[in-house]
Amino acid sequence: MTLIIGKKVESLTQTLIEHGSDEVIFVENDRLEEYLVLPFTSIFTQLIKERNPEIALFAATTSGRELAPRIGMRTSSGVTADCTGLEIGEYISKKEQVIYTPILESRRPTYGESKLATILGFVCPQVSTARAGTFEVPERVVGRKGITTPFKPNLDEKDFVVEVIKTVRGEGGLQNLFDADLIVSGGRGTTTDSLGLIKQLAEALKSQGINAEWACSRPVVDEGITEYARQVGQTGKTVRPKIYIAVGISGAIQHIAGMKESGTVIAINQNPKASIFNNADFGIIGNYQDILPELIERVKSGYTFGLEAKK
Amino acid sequence: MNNVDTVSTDVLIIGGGPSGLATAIHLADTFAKNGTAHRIMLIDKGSSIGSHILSGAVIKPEVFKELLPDVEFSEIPFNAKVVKDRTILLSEKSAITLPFHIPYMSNAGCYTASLGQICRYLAVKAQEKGVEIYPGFAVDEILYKDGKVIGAKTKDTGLDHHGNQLENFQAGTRIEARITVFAEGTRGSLTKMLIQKFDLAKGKNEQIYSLGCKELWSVPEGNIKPGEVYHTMGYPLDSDEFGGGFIYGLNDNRVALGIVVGLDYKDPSFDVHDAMQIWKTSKFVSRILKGGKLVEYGAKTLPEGGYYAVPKLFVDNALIVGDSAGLIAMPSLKGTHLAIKSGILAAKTVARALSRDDTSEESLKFYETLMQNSTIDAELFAVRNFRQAFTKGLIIGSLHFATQLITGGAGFFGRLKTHPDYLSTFTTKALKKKPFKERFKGKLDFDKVLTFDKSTDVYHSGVFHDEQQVVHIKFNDSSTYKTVNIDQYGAPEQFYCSSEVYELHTNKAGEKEIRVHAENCMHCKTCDIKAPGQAITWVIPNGGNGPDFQNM
Amino acid sequence: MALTIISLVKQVPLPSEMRMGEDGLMDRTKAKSIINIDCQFGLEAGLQLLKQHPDARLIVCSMGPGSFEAALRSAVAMGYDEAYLLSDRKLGGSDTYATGLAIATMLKHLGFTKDSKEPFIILAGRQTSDGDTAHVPSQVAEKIGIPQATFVESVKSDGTNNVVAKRIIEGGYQLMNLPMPCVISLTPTGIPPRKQSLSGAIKARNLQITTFGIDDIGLGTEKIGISGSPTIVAKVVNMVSERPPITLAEGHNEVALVDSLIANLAKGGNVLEKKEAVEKKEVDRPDFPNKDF
Repeated sequence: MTLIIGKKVESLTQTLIEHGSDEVIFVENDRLEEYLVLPFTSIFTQLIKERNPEIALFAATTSGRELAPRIGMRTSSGVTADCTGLEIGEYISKKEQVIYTPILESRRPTYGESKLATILGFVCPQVSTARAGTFEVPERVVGRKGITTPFKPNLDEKDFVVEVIKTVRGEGGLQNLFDADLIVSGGRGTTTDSLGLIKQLAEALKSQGINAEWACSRPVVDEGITEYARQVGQTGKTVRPKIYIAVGISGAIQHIAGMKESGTVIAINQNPKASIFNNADFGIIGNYQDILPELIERVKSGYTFGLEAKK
Repeated sequence: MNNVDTVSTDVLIIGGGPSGLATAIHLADTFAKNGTAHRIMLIDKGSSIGSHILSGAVIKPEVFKELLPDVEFSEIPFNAKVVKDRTILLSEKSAITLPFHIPYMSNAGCYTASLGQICRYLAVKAQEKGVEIYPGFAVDEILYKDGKVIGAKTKDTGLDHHGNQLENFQAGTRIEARITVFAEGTRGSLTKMLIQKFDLAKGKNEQIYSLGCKELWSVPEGNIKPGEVYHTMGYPLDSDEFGGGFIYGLNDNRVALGIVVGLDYKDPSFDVHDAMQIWKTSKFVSRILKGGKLVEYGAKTLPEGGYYAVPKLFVDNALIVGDSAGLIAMPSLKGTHLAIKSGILAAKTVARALSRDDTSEESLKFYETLMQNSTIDAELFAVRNFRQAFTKGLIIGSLHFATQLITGGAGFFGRLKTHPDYLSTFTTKALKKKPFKERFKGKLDFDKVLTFDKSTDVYHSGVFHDEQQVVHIKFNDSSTYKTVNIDQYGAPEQFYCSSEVYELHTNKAGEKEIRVHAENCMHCKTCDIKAPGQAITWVIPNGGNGPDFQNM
Repeated sequence: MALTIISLVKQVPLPSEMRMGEDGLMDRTKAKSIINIDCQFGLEAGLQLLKQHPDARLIVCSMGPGSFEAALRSAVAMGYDEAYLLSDRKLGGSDTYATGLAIATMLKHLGFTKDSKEPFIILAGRQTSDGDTAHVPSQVAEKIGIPQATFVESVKSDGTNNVVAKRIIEGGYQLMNLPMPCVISLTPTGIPPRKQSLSGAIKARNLQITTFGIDDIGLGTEKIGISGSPTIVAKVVNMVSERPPITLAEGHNEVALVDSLIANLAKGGNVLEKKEAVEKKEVDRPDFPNKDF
């Protein structure tokens, strides 16, 4: 079952059912148009009390990553963060001489992705957050039937003490990053021209019929040059294009975590000891302001990094 | 919030190498013995004590007994006692062991060691004795009052590239001290200011330097034994390039090796780091490294001017010790024992001055008197003309040295002069011999197994610099830099720099410019010494920046 | 009504410092410990708030072994005044829930409750580099019962008892107004942490750190440590992703470098190999009764 909260959300319930929900519970409230951690925590906890689910899953977004632990503390159940795998299994407790089954096995990478840990929760609901980009959206079955249930929570005025003064959103979700065959990604070293050359290279590739996109590493977002949605890395998106071109990216372990599954990694950096070079297949030591214009010219005259152009 | 904090101490020691630590330890011991309570503060720019320390090293141990009389000698973390000591005349394919030692080069009774480890040990000892040690702070200003030194100030941090204050600006701290001891090591940036301000090098020879590049390797069992010591002469150096190689066997199948070359070489394209790589390909050296792995890399300069280049070492309220004072004995290139000895003598001077409440120049002259009556003086005086002789090349130098041996160090003349290293460099046109890159054409493709390019080596130094700071390499006159350094000298900084700080970039139009990667800097200060026309000044970067040597 | 600024920090191994040992394995013993980077941004945010509240009391807290004193001293060297460490063997193996609970209990013990007369603000890092969960700030806020803003890039006070936080969200940001007391967790994208000052380091050297055990703060053992934590790490598998060494382009200008890169790409040969380093072992399933819950 799925819980959806907000303003005018009832119309979305059918979409959720068509994507696989058997029941969609919705909370319709004008004051909840914008996500707020306190009332959302309260609503979720009230629903959990009423329905007693074994498992509660959230997306590991900036809201899910704060909402889940706040709920987990209120329900005394703890949370597993940023999972890349979720399975139902069992746990053999030698101490208690029992087998916990079924139990949620939450898998998450740790130590800069060098290890994969399986984490189990023993208090219901077992709460986990799922990392963006690692789970496929279930296929939509148009006309699928399910239950739609309105839910009227008790809302406490005290939960509205925090005021959202304003919300600024840029280009939004950027699903493209997950689908692109080639990603040109700019790091701190490419901020001098505000990623101008990065974008130009991606555009040039697009004009050649390549499914290319541009992205960035964390410092670029830090400097306010582009929005969080473009950020690749452990706290941003995990991408796996056929070709990943890292330009001016030093290669912090958190960034590597977000791109290391890419097919071929090309690194361009003027700092020869940048650790990105330890995580790339091919590289150029040089200034991006010299190299990229040259690369863009090559692309304009037909070079596509060996990728087939879409007709 | 730009209020500057001031702290005060009796003694401020700038630099946590062997000389500074010896000063601190001997002072603390003396104070304890005299029953006086004085504050001793030691500041070091490395992120931890030892992280900026690099030496061969084969060390004469006797002075440690003087510094730490109450300590079991075996407790000091030396590596291995020298068991075999050979000087080798090297060519690419052959190695001839000289049947004798070059005088003053015998290493009998010495120990191989990581000087960094020894410094870490000394720092623990000093702290046990009550010395306050603060690593990770850069001192960039000498404080004066009425023209006299009254301490120093740590560097302001939280500045952008242009020196503007950022939101995280943190003002430096003024340290007011009754006596300040400059123990910064080779080409100390404050010592340089002090020497200039008080004209302390007046009437002395110009200080000249060598650059040493060193690698630490882990090799298969049996390649070399702990305590085996080899010094090589010859390959790949020309007769007008003064220097040689060293290979020291350490415990746990490690070997420290490198080459040291006088910075008075002529060829602007000469590259000490690359020369070391070529040296490693010689049959003799490569056999020792076979099957091994590079562990660490580092570089430092050494003051080689000797006796006649030692500046005046005392002014009102301040003393200079160790490498900053230029105390290195040639031709053995040993300075650790002299650094420690000078620290002990400085400590005696400081303790005496504080007890008499007289820290004037007159009172501190006692340091010079102690020095003149010490082993330091004797050791330096005997070889006072050694290095200068070799500025004329190997053959004339050897002749000179031979004469010096007979005449007790005087040679043909009483005192041989030097001129600063940057004046030795020829323009590319004036150089009459094959430039380095042509001499060794075909040998400069490094295989990353036995030989390494600079950037790979630099990676093995753990070097780090804050991005948020003023670049610590200053071009004194950027207008002439292109016409002189690049056009006439062929941008020698890309070659003499031990750590790939300088990159010569040619754009499509063929225009050349130097790009600075200050984040690679090993703090060897070669650029400050060797840039033609003294075009570059090395300024101290943020505290805690620089290499992070573990066992150098 | 002086404000109290509380920073929560964790000490972690410096990620970039993790060197390979000679046997090819990570040599953790050589890794230096640092204050978790995000927590450093939290510390800086506190020092920025001090500019608007010059008479604020700055305290730094941590939970962990005695070696964490180093992190607390570093915070004091940056400009903090007081330091508290919750250190107890019984806390070993605590999950994020138990950690949040323990830290909240210590803060309440120090008098920071939702009904405090004096205003306070708790600053923390968004997440730690060795855990990466981002849970603890939310859990501390929940346990104390105060509002929170996480993933905050900058926090400003207007000099009253409210702060304005810039919270990073997908594709943009939000400006939020929060009443104190509250918890703010900082992303490492705001004002970078300042360096220590020597005068601060001298103060830190002489500082007396207050260390609490769980008994001191009235925390029972039932909800902490391995046994009290609602979640456990059941299994850890090494992941090995192997990319062969890089092939670097060669050339002395951009034309030659790009030519070389294209030639290298055409040659190919570098591919990612991925494997689970440890084989999965089949475990005998004992004949225990099933427990559904």
